[in-house]
Amino acid sequence: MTESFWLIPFIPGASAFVLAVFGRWLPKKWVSFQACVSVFASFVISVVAWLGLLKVDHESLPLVKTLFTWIASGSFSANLSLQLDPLSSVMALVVTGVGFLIHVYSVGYMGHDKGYTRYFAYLNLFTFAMLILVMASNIVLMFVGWEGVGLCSYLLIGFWFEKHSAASAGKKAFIVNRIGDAAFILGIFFLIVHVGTGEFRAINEAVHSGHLGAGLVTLIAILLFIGATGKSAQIPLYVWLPDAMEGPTPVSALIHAATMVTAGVYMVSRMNVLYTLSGEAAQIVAVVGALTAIYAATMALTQNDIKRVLAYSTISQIGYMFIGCGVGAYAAGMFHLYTHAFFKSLLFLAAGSVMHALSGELDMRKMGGLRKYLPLTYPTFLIGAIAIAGVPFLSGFFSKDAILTQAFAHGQYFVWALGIMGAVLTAFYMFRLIFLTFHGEERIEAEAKRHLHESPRVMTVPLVILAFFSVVAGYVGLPVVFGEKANLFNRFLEPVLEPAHEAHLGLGTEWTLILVSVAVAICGIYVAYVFYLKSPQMPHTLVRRFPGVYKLLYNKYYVDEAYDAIFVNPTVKGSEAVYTHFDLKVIDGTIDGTAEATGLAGRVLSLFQSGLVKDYALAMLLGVVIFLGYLLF
Amino acid sequence: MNNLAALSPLLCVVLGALLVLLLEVLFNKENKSYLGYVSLAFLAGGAALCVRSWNKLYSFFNGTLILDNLALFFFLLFSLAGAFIILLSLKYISDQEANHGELYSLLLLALSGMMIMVSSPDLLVIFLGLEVLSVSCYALAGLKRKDEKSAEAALKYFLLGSFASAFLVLGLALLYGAAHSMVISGIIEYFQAGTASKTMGLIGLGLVIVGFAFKIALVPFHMWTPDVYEGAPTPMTAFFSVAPKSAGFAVLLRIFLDFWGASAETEFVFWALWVLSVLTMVVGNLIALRQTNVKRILAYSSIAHAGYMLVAVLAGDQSSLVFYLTAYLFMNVGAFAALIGMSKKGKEYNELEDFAGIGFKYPWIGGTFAVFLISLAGFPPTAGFLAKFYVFSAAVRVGLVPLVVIGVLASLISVFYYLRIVVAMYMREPSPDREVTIDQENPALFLVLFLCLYGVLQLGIFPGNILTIIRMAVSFL
Repeated sequence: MTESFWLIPFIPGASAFVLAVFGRWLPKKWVSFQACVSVFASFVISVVAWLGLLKVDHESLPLVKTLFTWIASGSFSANLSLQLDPLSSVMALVVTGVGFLIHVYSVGYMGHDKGYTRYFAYLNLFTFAMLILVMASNIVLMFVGWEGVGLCSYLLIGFWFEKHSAASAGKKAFIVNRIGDAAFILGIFFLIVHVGTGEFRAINEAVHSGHLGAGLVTLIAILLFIGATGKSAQIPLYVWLPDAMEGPTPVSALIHAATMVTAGVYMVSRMNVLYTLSGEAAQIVAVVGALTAIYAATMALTQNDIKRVLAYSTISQIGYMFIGCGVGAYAAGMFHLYTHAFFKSLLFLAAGSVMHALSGELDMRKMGGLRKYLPLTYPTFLIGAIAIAGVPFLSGFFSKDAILTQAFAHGQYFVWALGIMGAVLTAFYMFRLIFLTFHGEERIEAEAKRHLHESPRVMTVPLVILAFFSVVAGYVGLPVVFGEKANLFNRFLEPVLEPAHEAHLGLGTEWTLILVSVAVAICGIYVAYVFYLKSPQMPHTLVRRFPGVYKLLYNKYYVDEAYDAIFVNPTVKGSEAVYTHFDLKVIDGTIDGTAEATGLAGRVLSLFQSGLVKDYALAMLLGVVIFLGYLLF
Repeated sequence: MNNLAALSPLLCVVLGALLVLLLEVLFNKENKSYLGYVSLAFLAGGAALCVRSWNKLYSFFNGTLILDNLALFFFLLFSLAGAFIILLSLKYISDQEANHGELYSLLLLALSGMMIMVSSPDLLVIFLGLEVLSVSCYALAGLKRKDEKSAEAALKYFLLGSFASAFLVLGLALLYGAAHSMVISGIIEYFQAGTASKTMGLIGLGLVIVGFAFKIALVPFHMWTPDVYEGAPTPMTAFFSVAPKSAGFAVLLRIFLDFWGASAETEFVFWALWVLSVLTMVVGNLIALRQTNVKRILAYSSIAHAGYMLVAVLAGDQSSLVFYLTAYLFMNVGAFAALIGMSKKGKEYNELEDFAGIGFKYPWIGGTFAVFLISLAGFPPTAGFLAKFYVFSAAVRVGLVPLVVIGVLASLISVFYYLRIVVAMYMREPSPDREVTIDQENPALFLVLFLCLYGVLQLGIFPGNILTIIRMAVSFL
């Protein structure tokens, strides 16, 4: 069964194809059934493949299945080949597992949408592309998946394309990602030119053998990382993700929280040899991650749109994952990716459930006191919030702590400090969201209140399952204080990751760090409690006291405006100028002239075509005479 | 006897031709489809026998017929083309007043002529095959006996074809006089050896080239093509545009295989063909711009494609030429199949105006036709793109850069008239006074459309398998 792992991406792929081509003739029930079952089947195979992988010895990793040669050009060739190793296995499990739950949730959430079939076709296509991304055995095929998920993201952000803001958000996401991808492609080109192939195994060997110079490795690593900042929404290319919340909420959960946006983290872990060798590149990854973690957290403080808070939170959490990768603790980064997938998709789906209950309301100022109306959504949302805030014994605590401990252990005190500050803010804004939404006085509009209801079973059951995993998922990666071998997750990933220069801390230090983490989480929650429940006038006082800071945060540091002024507007103006002056006049003029001349030549030549046999014979004879004359003289 | 068994693919087709002729006389039924099925069966049998002989290299009748892989590959290509044409003719002939059963017999005879052409190294035998092919084709062009245009096409084809054959025979005589050999290798040896004057041989070879240039419609020996293509029954036009061209190029491929660069005389021949190639690409495409009849557009387009194929001959790259011919078979037969689809009983729609809005009215015909046109224009991911790409890159490798530049520019011109049809199909409103209704009850036609579509996409996206086979085919040379 393990050998059939290559089927994992193709089942949702085939389903997407069927939905796209025959979807309009299929009954709605069948569409839901097929879309969910195809992902579930992939999940089952992923589990079986993972179990099989546990028995395979490290020497024979990764298992590679080559389907056919895709490109063959001179000495370069790229295969359509998939691989299974611990890294791709973890990703495949997350993508299909969380993906399946989100598919099920969508059946309820999108139930009344007229684009129902199109939605599931896109969602299945996304699953296919994401699985190709994480299971490709060479970077060229990985790039196919990388672009594929980008395309699906574009299609799904702009799913309600009649809405202008949705259409332009899709465009923004696509264009910003293109910028990162340009660098990413350059990185791929450098690798292929210097290694000769895109196969990960060959790249690893080439880097190990010192075949590539140190400068080259750094260059490639940085180029690839720029691609990752686009896809994973890091500074400076994060601007598309908050706008991406225009898409349906399950899409935000699947693509813009759990899977696609973490592709950059996966990519860095996959290429960990490069980043381990190049200290400079790794340092850049760590610092960008840390800065993003705190920067995005500050922006989340002032947002009133429930999904936007979660979006900034996602950016911030991915920053933590990059901290892990940047300090050389790839396993910790991947671990946070894995736990984050549960609690962040839980938070999004629960937010979707809130929206569903309030007929699409997103503004937290028009919520409050919802706890008693949403008996299932509230506790699950709360579990998600506790998990992300870093309260002990839930999954988010273990993974965030692993990252921060590793950062501290590697002597990255600055990065660690930023991370700790980010953690306070995280706890604060998450509980601000909880208190504003579910506690306190009711500020719900009368119209919305009349329809207020808990979501149907098909939506709440996935919430409960995700909540369960948000609690327990962390226990596979216990910190060292519970024993050297307690971290099963790290041990599972060991064969694919560079032997990290394990920085060990004394047990005392470990405990201290854990206590600090716990303290900041509780501190953040307490402040939120004081601000939004105990004395609700406090925030207003603060805003009045520091109006500049509030405005800066509320307007997201004016980065969108700055990008518009520096990049977007000059480009648009410049291309308009080029269009009117150069394109219309010079190019079109030349082309029109050429076309006229060509047409004239054709007209002259057709004059010879008289239709008379004698003319034809004469032309032939002339041809013969000239031809022979040329040959002889 | 062993020899004859190996000859069986050819015999199978000839036998089929004779049997169909007999059946027609014996039964004389109004519906001629059964003859088509019998012909298909014999073609399939012949093809199966070809596959059996693959990689065996038979030679017989003192080396005047050689069944190497290349010959077998062309046998298969011809059989496929023949099968497509038969499928396209089944309904056409009864709809368009050309209900004559000898069509199938003549078609099989033409195929057998082509098979002889590609499997002989002896120019005299090749000539024999060529005449079998030509005479059958003259008759096929005039199949719509009561139609003036069809009769005119047959007569023109016959007169000018005989004229060209005369040149060819004269050329053969002169060549034999000079080289004392009719075998291709002997002739090449003659041109490579010694320093004696080779004027007579050169005239002979020049006339032979002219003879073939007529058959494959190179400019300026192309004048007959548009008139014949327009007048002949459309399935026959499809046949003329594909099959004799492939056979002619197969012969040129054998003649010019080791020919280039041997001596000063071959230089002359090279540049003469170079000029023919340029003329063919440029003139064919330019005149096509002016046409408003889709059948004539396709006729000129087929002239232009011969020019691209000649580039491959000049580059001395066999596999790209064979690949081009294969791709061309699918896309051109496909395009003609779509054109044949645009008809109903007693009426064919061939004018460009008839195609307005067809893409939405008849999505399958319009859609596949668009793909074939895009392939003919040479856009990826279709076969036409890769075919041109292989030919041009082979030419660049041997340093024929100016020729390739001209070729690319010429194919740029061609985009205009191909896309003009696509634009008409999808972006023009049908004019109210031109009512176009077509009869879509033609499963055989749709089978051909889809097979060609498959071929165009398979060759365009995953050309690997067929390239391997083609390399095997040319490796025996």
